[in-house]
Amino acid sequence: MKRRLNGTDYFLILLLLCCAVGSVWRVWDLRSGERATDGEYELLAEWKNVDKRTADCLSVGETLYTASGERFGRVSAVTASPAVLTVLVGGEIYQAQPVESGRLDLFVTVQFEGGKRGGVILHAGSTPLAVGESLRLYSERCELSCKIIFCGEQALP
Amino acid sequence: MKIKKRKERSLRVTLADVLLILLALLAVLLGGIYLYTRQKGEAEVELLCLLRVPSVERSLLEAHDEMLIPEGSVVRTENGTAELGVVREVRVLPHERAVLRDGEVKWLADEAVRDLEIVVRMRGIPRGSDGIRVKDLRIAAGGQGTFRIGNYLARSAELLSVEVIP
Repeated sequence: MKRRLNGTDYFLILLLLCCAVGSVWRVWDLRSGERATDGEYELLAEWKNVDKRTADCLSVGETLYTASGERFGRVSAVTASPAVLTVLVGGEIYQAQPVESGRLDLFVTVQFEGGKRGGVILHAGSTPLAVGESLRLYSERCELSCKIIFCGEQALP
Repeated sequence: MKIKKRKERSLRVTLADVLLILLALLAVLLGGIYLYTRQKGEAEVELLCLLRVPSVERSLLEAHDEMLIPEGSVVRTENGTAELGVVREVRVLPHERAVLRDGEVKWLADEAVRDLEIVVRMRGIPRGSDGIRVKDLRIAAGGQGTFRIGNYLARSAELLSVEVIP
């Protein structure tokens, strides 16, 4: 029985090693908070047209995570107002805030660890965040689809 | 005349191949054991979820004597492979649309369709940063999805609330 390794074997070994290294790296990356951050930042995000009962599932103090399970930040405040409704009739736009609809626009303030490089705020020192950006975040019982309307050292200037 | 000897390609399995196969099998086995023990060790919780199915045709509801989705119906994923929970209650509500009346935006009921609010009892596993999972599906209020509820395919159903029963 020949015991010589051929090119395919080396390639497969390399592939296996890459898989192992990648998995370990990802787990380590998710669990360690050792990144270039220089303090706490806040963002204000708008979650539009939410049912009141859905809004009740989110509370202040909860931790928010990304879809991959990475910690994003902590909810520090939630304010609500009746959802703004837009109706387009004959090319004209009409807006109203009907209370009876039971739908709300939520304004969620999130505190997160971040850094600032060249005027850009980086979440966890790596992911840039900007006003107008859409975010999908998860609390224990909620899936938030929101848009950043302010991002800085304090959410409300 | 010189006869060229055909070189035979060896398809023999070497020791390295055997080792690689064993290594791959071991990795799969360890992964399986890890997933199995993780699932075994996790405590299940009872959930009450509220699903909203918008714009169900009224004629469809009437054809089934308002029993399109009877209590006790099983809620499954869109392809029907995973069982997610059981229907506990069904509420038929008017579907309201925003319309313009005398320059004002008003809510008016659309008589052609109805909204269904369905209370579903599920058993889920809270997995910290991965949320509450029911058959590996994240169950979170504010999410949308297509579900197979009994014999009805509920498209764009909105998950309105998730309540953990103590």
